[in-house]
Amino acid sequence: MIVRPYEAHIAFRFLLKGRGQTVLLLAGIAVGVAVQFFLSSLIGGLQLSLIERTVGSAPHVFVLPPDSIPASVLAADGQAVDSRRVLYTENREILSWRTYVDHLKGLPEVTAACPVAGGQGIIERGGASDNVALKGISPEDGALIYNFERNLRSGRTELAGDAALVGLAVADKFRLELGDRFFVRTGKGVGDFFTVAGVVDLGSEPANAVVFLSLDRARSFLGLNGVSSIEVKVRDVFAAGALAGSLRAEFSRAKFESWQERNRELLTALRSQSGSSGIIQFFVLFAISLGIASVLGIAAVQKSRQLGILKAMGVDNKGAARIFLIQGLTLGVTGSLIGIGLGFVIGDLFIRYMGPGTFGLQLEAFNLITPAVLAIVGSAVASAIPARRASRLSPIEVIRNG
Amino acid sequence: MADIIAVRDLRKHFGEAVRTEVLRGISVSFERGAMTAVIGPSGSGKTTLLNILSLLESPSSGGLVVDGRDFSAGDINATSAYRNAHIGFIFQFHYLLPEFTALENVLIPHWIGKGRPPQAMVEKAQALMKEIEIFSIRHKYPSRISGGEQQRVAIARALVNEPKIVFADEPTGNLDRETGFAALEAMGRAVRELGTTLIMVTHDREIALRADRILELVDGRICKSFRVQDIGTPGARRLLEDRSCQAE
Repeated sequence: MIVRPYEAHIAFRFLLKGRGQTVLLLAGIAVGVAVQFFLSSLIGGLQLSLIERTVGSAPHVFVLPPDSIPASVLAADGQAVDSRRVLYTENREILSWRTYVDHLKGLPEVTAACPVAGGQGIIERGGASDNVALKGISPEDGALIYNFERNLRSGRTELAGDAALVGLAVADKFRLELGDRFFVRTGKGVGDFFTVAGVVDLGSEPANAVVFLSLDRARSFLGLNGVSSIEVKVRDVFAAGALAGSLRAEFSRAKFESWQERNRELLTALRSQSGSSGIIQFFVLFAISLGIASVLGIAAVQKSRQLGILKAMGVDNKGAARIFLIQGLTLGVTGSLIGIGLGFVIGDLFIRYMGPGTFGLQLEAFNLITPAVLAIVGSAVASAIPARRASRLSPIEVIRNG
Repeated sequence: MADIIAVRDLRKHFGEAVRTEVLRGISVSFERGAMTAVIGPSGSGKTTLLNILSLLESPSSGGLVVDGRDFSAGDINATSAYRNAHIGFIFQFHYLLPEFTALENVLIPHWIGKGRPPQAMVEKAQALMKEIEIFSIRHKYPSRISGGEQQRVAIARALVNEPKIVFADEPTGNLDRETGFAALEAMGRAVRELGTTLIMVTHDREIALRADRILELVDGRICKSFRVQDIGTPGARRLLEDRSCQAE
């Protein structure tokens, strides 16, 4: 759009002289942009926080042995087999786990791949007992998967011999402190004593109901020849699904699950949240656009006489239209800039007064630029209605009707 | 003196189902630099003729040549640049932009045609305002000045680009008689000084008598056309009082 000097001159003067109206419009746009910016930052922050709490200290992709499946439902002679006698493959371990781990560690998107010897156990201490998840891990890879460096509450993360890292829930329940010994029994009746080397907090009650052992100790304790799973962490958490898919296509003898497949409800909730936020933001923008369209529309009617005489004096249809488009764009750009500033102030106040315990705001350029661009586009579209009216106005009509 | 506008068999009608003939074959020419008053009763077609001559409205048929250019079929949007450069307008209502001061209003045509006015142009506009006695109110907004002053500002605005032709439609119609005459006096002086052609529609015979030539329209046709100095003012007055055309 090439703007001729007189168009901007007249448009700016219309805005400056209608000061009250202009200030109200700018306030409307600024508040709208600030609300959109704050809302998207808030929801973005909430979602990031939820995802971080869900998978920040947990694996993103799981490599598992294939499900146990019936070997055959029909006998060789074609007769149906008694379901109580159906044979199942007993393939509950990954025997060639080193091959998988080496392959996974070679992928650029993978940051850690940890073989896990997992199983259920019962802790018995001082007359109390409870189920607990036992996980044998390689300490270096496990530290990357479970963020031990960040999540270690006390002790150290070295796992060797009988040393165990216990989750916070287990430590609290059994009053376990560093150096304490506790007894664990497996489902197969095997039992042994372990020593608390450290306590970790993985962020949630279920995640903290765990006892980490060294991989070799766990394998012998649980009686595993291979490992029960391989846990994988990737750079981009949302790329986990794609990685699981490509691994599935590549390897048929193992099962691959992403964190998204294990947390479908969370993802649905996040999508619903994004959707509702989008709807709110759309209506905020719609309300702003309606405001601009109605105010500029009224201005176009009020200024019909002046526009008529301007057209008689040589303003062409496009020039008359641009006088209103410039007003709309000026309102959009100025209102957006004020709105961005206001959004930052609201965000700063939120973080300052709600305290560090709450989830943070996702103050990203995208959250900033999107509402500003939408408000500018909305303002331009809204001003198109009075612009069209100005463009079609005939000076003769004005002169005839006074 | 060469003609600046020439029209031939100019016709204008409105409506298709119910056709209203407003101009019924006007053929006339206007001398460069002359002041012409177009008079006639209401509905005689004088404002429509003025709108067509000033390129604000296109004729239904007939020929229209302005300053050697044929505008018979021109649409008003296409002629906007020509209007800005060569035509000035003064209407019954001043239609000043209330957001601009008197001086800024006068400079609007320059803004439209050539962009931001240079200092020389501002000085020229101020000199014009001094000439028509509105220099003292140059920094006031239209709402702060009288009706007569508003119309003088509109006159200065029409003349600032030194147009070849100025069209005035009842320029004093909204003013009291004394103020109207004073505004007209100022306009006449400025127009003659610039050598501009003035075509003015008026219903006031006393105002018409100040023109070089009078054109009377009745029912879309030219009823009388004469030069005032050819027959003298008393003769012109008598001719204006003769209603024989209208009786027909």
